[in-house]
Amino acid sequence: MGYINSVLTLGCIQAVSVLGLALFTGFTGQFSLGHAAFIGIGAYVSAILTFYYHVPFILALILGGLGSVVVSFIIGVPTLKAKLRSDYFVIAIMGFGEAVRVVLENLNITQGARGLAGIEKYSTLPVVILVLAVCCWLARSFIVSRYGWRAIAVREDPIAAEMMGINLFATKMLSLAGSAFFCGVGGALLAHFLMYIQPVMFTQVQSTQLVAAVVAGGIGSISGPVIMAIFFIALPEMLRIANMWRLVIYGLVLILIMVFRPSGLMGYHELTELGKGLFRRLKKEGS
Amino acid sequence: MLELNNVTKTFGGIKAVSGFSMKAHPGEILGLIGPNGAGKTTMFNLITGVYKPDGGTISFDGENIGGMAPHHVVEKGIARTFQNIRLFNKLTVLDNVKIAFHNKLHYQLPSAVLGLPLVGRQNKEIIKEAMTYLELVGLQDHAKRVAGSLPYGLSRRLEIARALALKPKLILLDEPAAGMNPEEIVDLKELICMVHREFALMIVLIEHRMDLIMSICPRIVVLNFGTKLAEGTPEELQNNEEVLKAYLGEDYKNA
Ligand SMILES: Nc1ncnc2c1ncn2[C@@H]1O[C@H](COP(=O)(O)OP(=O)(O)OP(=O)(O)O)[C@@H](O)[C@H]1O
Ligand SMILES: [Mg+2]
Repeated sequence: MGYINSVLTLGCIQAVSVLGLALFTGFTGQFSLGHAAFIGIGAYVSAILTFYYHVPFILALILGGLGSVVVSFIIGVPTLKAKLRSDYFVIAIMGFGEAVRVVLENLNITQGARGLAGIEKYSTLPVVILVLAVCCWLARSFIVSRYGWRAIAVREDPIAAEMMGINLFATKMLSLAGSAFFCGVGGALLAHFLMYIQPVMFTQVQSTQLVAAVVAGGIGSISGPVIMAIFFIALPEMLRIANMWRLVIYGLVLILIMVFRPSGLMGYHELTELGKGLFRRLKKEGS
Repeated sequence: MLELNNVTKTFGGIKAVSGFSMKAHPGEILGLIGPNGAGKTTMFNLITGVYKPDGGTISFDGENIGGMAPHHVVEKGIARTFQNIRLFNKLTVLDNVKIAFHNKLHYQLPSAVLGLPLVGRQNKEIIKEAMTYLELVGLQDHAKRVAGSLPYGLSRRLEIARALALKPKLILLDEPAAGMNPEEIVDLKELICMVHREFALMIVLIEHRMDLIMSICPRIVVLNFGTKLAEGTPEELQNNEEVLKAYLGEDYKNA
């Protein structure tokens, strides 16, 4: 029971971060291989606040997210303002991610490569589910507002979006900041679940996992990436019995999704639509 | 008034536009014609800020807009359509038009993120207004359809509706009749004349279909190799030797 509980908790934590990348990649059409840095910032900012300054967890969570937002401007303003081509942007943010990790390894307050240990455990399963639910609500509200319309327009056709009076830089920057916030909150949850953090946890591998969940979950969807995030965390654990075949099956799942659902599990759709469709059918049959 | 003065744009040695000047007056439908590669689309890209001019000035209502970012140009009251249709293909027809209103809604980021009821209310009010633009171009019955699934002629109409929804003073139409059949062209002609009347719009129209352009533009500018070849009424141009030569080649007299 305790084991399943841990896996689920970790899955939901990952889902919060994936939600962030879904905003940036799935709804704004921008790719990134550096979002692990934002998870790292959120983790360290919140952990330092609770560990050294005994700040209440909920406040540390929000400040962890905001810390990532501040850092997102440092990378976002120069690269997005310069209208860097998207492939160059990916490289820039990748380098930025590594740079953040090196900084974390060399500060006193982060205790360097050794990492921070003895962090209080606040991220229980109910807490994590609650935070994930709130984050889903925030992301959904953003998407259906005019800010979300702008982001989607930029994803669909940046030139046409500009001719609708949309400021490309402001739109991309807002999405990046929003995605950094969710990743930061995810990182804060992670720190207070594992109870210790090290810079080496926030590498490119973590960034790649976020991308995999968003792409497999579906562009233009919130529920798809969230489901895939939890699934990708749970899968290796579920497959522990067939230890030898774990990675093979993991790869197979990705290939199957590519083949049978090329736009991802829920590409451009939400789980709630499924519910609504079912409801409509039931009503029809009833009447 | 739109005024281009001595505008120049080069692409790595190719002079797409060189020393071009023209004026378009409020309420006018100005035609812009010229052979393929003459620089017509480049002209639209310069006016709308997609490209920065290498020289010369572009002014609109007395304000210099040359090199201004496209979203600022839109704020000044200029909208356009694209030669190679650019719709938001994954969105519905209605959502394509709704996006034009993004700057006219009043709620701010905090209310949006929290999903306050006022956000939904304001979004709903927009739907009614967006629908009037769909009705204008005859797309009201396709509102829920995905834009990417529209046939060619309707896509062009949706692009026009979306541009009109910005409530521009000047609209730039880049080959709106391309790929349309003769009946669709007749409908399009009516549509252009109707919006021109209703909205007291200034229109600049690029078109290869001479019948269309000759019948709705009292004044036409001819572009060739990035420079102005001629300017005048349809009748004047039909008898202009330079224009005939540019279109039909040196031995046009034998044609
Ligand atoms: N982004 C660009 N980069 C390089 N060259 C360009 C670019 N845009 C236009 N050109 C060149 O500028 C010239 C004018 O092109 P433009 O598209 O303005 O012609 P056009 O008059 O619209 O032609 P058409 O009737 O075929 O649409 C062409 O030689 C074209 O190859
Ligand atoms: Mg053209």
